[in-house]
Amino acid sequence: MGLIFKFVLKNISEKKSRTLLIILSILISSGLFFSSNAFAASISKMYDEMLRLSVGTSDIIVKATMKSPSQFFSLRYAQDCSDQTQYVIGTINESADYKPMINEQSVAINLEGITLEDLQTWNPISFSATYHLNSFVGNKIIISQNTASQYGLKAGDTLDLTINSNKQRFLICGIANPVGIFTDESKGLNAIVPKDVLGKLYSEEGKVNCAYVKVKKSADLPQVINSLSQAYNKYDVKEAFSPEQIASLTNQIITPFKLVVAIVTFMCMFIIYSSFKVIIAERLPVIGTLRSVGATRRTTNFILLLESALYGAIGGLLGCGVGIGLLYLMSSAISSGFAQGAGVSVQVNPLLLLSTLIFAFILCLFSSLLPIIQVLRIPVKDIVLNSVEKVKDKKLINVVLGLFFLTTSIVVPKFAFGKMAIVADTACLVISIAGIFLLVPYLISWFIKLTEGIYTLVFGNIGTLALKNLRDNKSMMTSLSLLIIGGASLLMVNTFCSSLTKQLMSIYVDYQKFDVLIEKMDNNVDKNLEHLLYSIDGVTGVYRYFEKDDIKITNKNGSIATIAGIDITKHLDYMRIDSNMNLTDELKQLESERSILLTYTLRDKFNLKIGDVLNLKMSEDKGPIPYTVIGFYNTAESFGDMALVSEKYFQEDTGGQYNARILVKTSKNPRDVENAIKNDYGQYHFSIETRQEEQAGILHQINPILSLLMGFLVLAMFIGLIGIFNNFIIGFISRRRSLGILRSVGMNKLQMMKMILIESATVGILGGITGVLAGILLANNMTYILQAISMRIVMQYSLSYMAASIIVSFAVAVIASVCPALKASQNSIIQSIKFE
Amino acid sequence: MNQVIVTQNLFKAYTMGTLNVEILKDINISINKGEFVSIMGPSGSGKSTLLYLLGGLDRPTSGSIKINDKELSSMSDKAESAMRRRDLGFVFQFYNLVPNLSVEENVLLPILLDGKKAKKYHERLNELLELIGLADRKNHTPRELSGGQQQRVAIARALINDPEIILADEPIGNLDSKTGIEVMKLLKRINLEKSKTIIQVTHSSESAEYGNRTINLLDGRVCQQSNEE
Ligand SMILES: Nc1ncnc2c1ncn2[C@@H]1O[C@H](COP(=O)(O)OP(=O)(O)O)[C@@H](O)[C@H]1O
Ligand SMILES: [Mg+2]
Repeated sequence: MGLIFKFVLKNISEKKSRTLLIILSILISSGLFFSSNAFAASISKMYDEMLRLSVGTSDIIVKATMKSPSQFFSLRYAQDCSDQTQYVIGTINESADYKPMINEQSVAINLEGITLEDLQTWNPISFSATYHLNSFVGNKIIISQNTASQYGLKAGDTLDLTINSNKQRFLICGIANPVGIFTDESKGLNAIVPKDVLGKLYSEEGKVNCAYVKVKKSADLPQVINSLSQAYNKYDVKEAFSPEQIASLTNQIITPFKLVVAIVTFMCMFIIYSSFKVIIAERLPVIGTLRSVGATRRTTNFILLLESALYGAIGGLLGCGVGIGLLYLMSSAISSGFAQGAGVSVQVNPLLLLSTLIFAFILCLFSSLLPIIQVLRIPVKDIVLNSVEKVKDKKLINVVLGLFFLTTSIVVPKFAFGKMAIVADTACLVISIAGIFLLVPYLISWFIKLTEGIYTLVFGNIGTLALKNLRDNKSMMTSLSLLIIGGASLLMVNTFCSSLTKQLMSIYVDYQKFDVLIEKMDNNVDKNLEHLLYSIDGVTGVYRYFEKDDIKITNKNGSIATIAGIDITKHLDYMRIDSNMNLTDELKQLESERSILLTYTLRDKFNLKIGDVLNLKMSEDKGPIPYTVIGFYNTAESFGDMALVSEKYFQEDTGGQYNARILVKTSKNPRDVENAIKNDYGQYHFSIETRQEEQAGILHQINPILSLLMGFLVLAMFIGLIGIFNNFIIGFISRRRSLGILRSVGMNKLQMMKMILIESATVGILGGITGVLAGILLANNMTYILQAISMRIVMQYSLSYMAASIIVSFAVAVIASVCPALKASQNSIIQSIKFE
Repeated sequence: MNQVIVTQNLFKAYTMGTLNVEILKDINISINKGEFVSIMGPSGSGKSTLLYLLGGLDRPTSGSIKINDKELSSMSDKAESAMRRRDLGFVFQFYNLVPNLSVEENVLLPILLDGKKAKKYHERLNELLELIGLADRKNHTPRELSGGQQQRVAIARALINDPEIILADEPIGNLDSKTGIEVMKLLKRINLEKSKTIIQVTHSSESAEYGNRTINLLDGRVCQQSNEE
């Protein structure tokens, strides 16, 4: 046992560069595996925190709607389910006007009326300064650090606010750190006052206008929502946020990373697989000797597997370390842009570390098992006598299988719908690569047959010889495979990143025909605002429509990210929609009956056709309502996860639970118009952004993520490059004798260099071109995978990326072969020939 | 007499670590056109090393080698390579065929490297394959041939470009006696009919008998030269 272990250790330490390559492969793929999974957890936690900023620890929110008899209600009716709830906290949410200077514009401050104990249970905050905070009653106020510094306020100062037309003086008894509701004040200032103070000012003492409920067991959630909905049947009772929403948001960010990890893993498996083929060829004589002195097959297999397991263990352990490092890098990279406000927490989950180790083991064992099984098939006699015929890889079954894989991966995603789509599409992505790898040897022989004449014509006899050298050349095939997968993933990720950016930008350039967007308005403000806006100088058009997010389709087991209730006479003037149909009649039909226009993305996701009926859960209080599908269109918005219904039915069926959006066209600089609107109507709460601002904001958010994705890719390319270089060097070592023989029969150094250059340039260009084709195949597959998670990205292939891909492939192959070739030409001929 | 190969004060040493081992010491030989010379000597005496030096496959430590009155060490790589494929034919003890090329392609190598059209040598190729008895095997790879067959392919390769001088390192060392005799007869015929200069290394006196002169090496020195005619 000890002896075997020693033997294996000696083997591992003997070939340093190969050991390094194998360990590096495992290290990088397991590192990426760990970091992408941990990153997904961080992102999901970040979304959770971001959504929780406004809803605290609660699970359910009760709020008034337009149909409610009063904005205020009593918490009394919530007591029915007090057994199942951990807390029911009521708040009064109102807005106040603050005039910092006599002559200055007033600003709106969002007041949260709540007791201090409730606040600390519901959405805890901490203080940077306090002043007599122990009894939080009467006209006291907690403001944010941001407010304090903006207006030069400190604890102990007073603050005059106009609330419900009453002027009130408040004592600042706390300056809150930017946590909880104070985390993000980019959309307006927040402050906290005692609940009773607001109750008195609105003459609604003892009542609240917002209730937050936390359940004891999350399993009880639906039941509690149900009983609360009954108790508050005129109010809006809803889940604080849905886990599905978080999962879907997280997925949209993480999926591209996971795809890169999948491809990198495949590439690493291939590197390990080809290394193990060489390892086993080397070990064969030793295995033969061991067998001849009585070692069992089990022992010899154990030796090989032990070697592989050791690589897996070392690579996996190092990979965990690298993964943790990467995770920190990734988190800090996005915390400035994307995760603004909510901190991205880095959590090293021990369970994930364990899975990473297991992943590394499986990866390594699986990749090495194939060559080991091939050895198992060899009769003992042949191993012992070392008379193993080189196994012929060229089998018809490989062509058939390769072509089958390729066709499957092209055809299947077109027909995969629903929940299985993501699994099927990802499987297709992997088998498309496998298919390409199976076909590589044929690719070379077809290429040789096709171009032999041309090569002789252009490069003379040396060209012919170079082509012949490519024939059945294992290391060239490995290099070619690596070049193909490298180029393909490079192209895929680049195309994805640029297409995503272009598409997001095209929303602003091609689809939106307005200049300023107003949303997140206070209840009931939108209708007034729509009319008031015309009075602003420079406003040439105003269009108000409605949106509701995350609407369940009860008869399809899924949901639509956004449904818009549109004014069919105005919508197309403000938003472009594309369709193969002329939609004029369909738009009219939206008005005359409950019908819906869906994007092609949703059509494919749910496998729909015109005439299908969707039961939509448009509001919490009502059951699903049937809408008939009457047509399909394309939009870049919401990644294509959208649908249109008419305003009329939308209003009716949602019962006032929706977001109004006001689109404004301007004849002046949108910035000026935006400021004018803020100045004149700042007392209403809304968020307003010009298109340029939002565009810049989006870029600021996605750029760090895309950079990270490119970073993942660079790591992958790095390992691929090392693999290719290593492979070319191995190829040269095994060809040293052949080259010596050629020299001995009169090939001069120049001819040799020319031959090697032609070979490597051929492999480089062939790899580049095939890589581009494979890249298109992968990107196409990726489109389907993204579609399955409701991201419709139209891949825009750029010729310059393709050209760059081919040039890089060419350069890598040439550089990787010229160095060993130059070295080989320095050897004395006879040394090369004697070399075995 | 026309001297095709002349060496003067030829030395060859290998450094192994710190040790400097002299393999060939002060070799002075000359070989005339049309001669069939056998280099003999015990194993390890430097016979192969000498033959490699004569063929320009290795460089001497000092001394000069002239082939057709041209000093080898002053030739460019290009000129030397051209000489190797046009004027010299080398037959190695271990055949040294290129494994991924067919019999036909292996034989044609010197032609191809010379930039000549392989088609023009069709007849000559067939003639040679006929001569070595492998006409039906021309599309096989070396791996599919026996040792003797491979050696005959190597001889065909040495002859394809019709070189003046043939250098053969134990050409029949790995062959059975019957094939060995055939190969020796073949060489003798080429020597006589085409008046090619042949230098073979051998340690069997039987095969040395096919030649007309013997050079004996012992510990890297020429100890005796004899004319058998
Ligand atoms: N590359 C080398 N480095 C060191 N010693 C060598 C090398 N090549 C050959 N020799 C030594 O030179 C001697 C002569 O070798 P060789 O010419 O092959 O002998 P022969 O052909 O007469 O049997 C041998 O002792 C051999 O070990
Ligand atoms: Mg010898």
